[in-house]
Amino acid sequence: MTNRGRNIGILWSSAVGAFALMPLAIIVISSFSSVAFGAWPPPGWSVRWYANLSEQAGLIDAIALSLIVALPTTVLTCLVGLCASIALVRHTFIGKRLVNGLSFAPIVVPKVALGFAIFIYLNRLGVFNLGPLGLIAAHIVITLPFATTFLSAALVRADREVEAAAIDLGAPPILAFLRVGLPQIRGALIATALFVFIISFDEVDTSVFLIPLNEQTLPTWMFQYMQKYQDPTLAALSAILIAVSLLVAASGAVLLNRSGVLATLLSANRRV
Amino acid sequence: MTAATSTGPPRVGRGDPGTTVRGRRRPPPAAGLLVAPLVIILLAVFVTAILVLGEFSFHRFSEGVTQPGYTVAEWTAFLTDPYVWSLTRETVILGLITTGICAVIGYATALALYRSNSPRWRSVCYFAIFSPLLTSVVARTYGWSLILGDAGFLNAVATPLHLPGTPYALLYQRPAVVIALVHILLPFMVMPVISSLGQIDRQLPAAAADLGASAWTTLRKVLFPLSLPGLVAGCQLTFALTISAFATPSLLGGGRVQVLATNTYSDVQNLNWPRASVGSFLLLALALLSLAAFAAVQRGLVTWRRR
Repeated sequence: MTNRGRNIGILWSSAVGAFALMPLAIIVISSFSSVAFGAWPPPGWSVRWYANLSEQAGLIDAIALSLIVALPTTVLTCLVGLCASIALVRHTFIGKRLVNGLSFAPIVVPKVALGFAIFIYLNRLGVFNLGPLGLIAAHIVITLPFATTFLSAALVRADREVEAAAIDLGAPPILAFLRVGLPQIRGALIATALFVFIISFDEVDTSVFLIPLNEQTLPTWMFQYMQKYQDPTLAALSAILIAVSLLVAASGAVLLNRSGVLATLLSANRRV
Repeated sequence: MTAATSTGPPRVGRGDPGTTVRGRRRPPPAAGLLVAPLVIILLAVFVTAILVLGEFSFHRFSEGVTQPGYTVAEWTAFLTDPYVWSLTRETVILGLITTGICAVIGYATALALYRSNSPRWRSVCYFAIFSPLLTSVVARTYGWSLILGDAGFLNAVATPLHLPGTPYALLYQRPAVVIALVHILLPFMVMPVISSLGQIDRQLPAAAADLGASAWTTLRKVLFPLSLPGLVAGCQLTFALTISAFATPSLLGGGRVQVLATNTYSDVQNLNWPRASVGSFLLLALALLSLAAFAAVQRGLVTWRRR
C-alpha cells in the first residue's frame, strides 16, 4: 500500500463524501435565496422562505401527525424488538429459524406494496378511519427488522457472566436483566430508538397510502408540495429537517460507537 | 419466568437460563413469551395484509367500483398488457444501471476507507456517507432537482466551462432518477462491502505483500475475491431497493420515467384497487426473484472458491 495509493484513496473518499453531502448543502444555500425559482447561483439572499413556512396551511398538522405516529412506533418497536432480540440471541426454541426469517421478511417486500396491502387490509376490517393506527402499524412492521438487528448485535456483546452472578446472588432473571443486562446495551438501545424514530418520521413510500383522509404526515406533505410548487419554501423546511437529522445522526453515531454495535455491524478493522 | 423464581432458592450455575447446579434442564418459558409480540404483530399485520392483498387481486374493477365476485380477469389483463411489460423492463433497467454504478463507486469507496490509516478520517467519511440516510428522502430528491435542473447547480458550473453536452437536460428523465437513486442507495452498498473487507484476515494481504505482490495484484488476487460476498450482498440490497423506489422516480421522473411502483400509485389514485393489487404482487415477485438470483450467485461464489 503505497503512499500514492493512499493519497488516491483519500482523494476518492473526499470526492464521494462531497457527492454525498452536496444535495444537502445545495438545499441549505438555496433556502436563503431571494427568488422563487430554483436558479443558481441565487441572485440574492433572504429568509422569507423560512417565514413563509409559518403561513403554510396544514404544515403544523402534518408535523403533529408525523410525531403522533413516530413516537408510539419508536416505543413499541424498541420494546418488541428488544424482547425478540433477547429470545433470538439467548434462547433456543422451536421454530427459531422461522421467526428469524419472519423478522427480516418486511425488508424484502417493496414499501409501496406493503403500504397498499395494509391499506386494503384495514379497509376490509373497516377500521381505516381509526386515525393514525394504520400508519403506526405499518411503521412498526417496517422498522422491526432494523430494531431486531441492532439490538441483537448489542446483546451479543453484552457480558452475561455479570447477569449470571446477579442471578446467583438471588435476583429474579427479569430483575437481573433490567438492572445488569439492560444498562450494558443502553447506548445501542437509545441509538436504535433514534434511528427508528427518524425512519418513521421520514417514511413516505408506505405512508402515502395510509394517511387518513385530508391529513398528511410531514413527508407526504413535502411530497405533494414538491409536485405542485418549486419555490424554496421546501428548501427552508428541508434545511431545518437536515439540521435536526444530522444532529440525531451525530448523537446516534456516538452512542452506537461507544456501545460497540457499530464495530459489530461493520466489523471494521481497527488499525493501531 | 415465574416458574424460574417461585420454586425455592435460585439454582442457576453457568448463566445459561435453564441449567441448575445439579445439571437439570429447566425449559425457559421466557423465550416463547419474549418472541410472541413480534410474531403476533408480523403475522397479524404483515402476513395478513399480504394475504388480503392477494385476495383482492382476484376481483375486477369496472364502472367505478370494485366488483364483487372472484375472477382472474385482472391478472390476465395485467400480465398480457404490453405496457406493463415495458414498465417492468424500465424498472429492471433502472435497477441494473443504478446497482452497477453503485457497485463501482461503492466498492472503490469501501476499498479507499479500508486502506486508510486514520480512524478519524474513516469516521468523517462514514458520517458523510451514512448521515444523509437519516434525512428525508423527499428532501434529498428535492436537492437533486435543484442541482440537475435546467438552471440548476450543475449547469451553472458546467455551462461556463463549455463542457460537452451542456446545458444538460437531465431533470425529468431517467438520468436524473439514476443519479439521485445512486446517491440515496450508496450507503447500502458501502456497508456490506466494508463489513466484508473488515473480516478479511489482515495477515493475508500482508503475506501477499511479503511475497512481492503489488497493491494492484493484492487487490486482484486477495482482497477482491474475499470481499466478493459483501459486494454481492450490497448489489442485492441496492437492486431490491431500486426496483421498489417510489418517491424519487415519481418526483424526478416527471411522468416520463414510469416504474411499477409509480404505476401502482396511480392505479390507487384511480381507485382501480384490483389492478394495483396485481401490480404490487408483480413488484413483490420481482423482488423475490432478484433475491433468489443473488442468493444463487452467493452460493456459486462459495463453490467457486472451493475449487
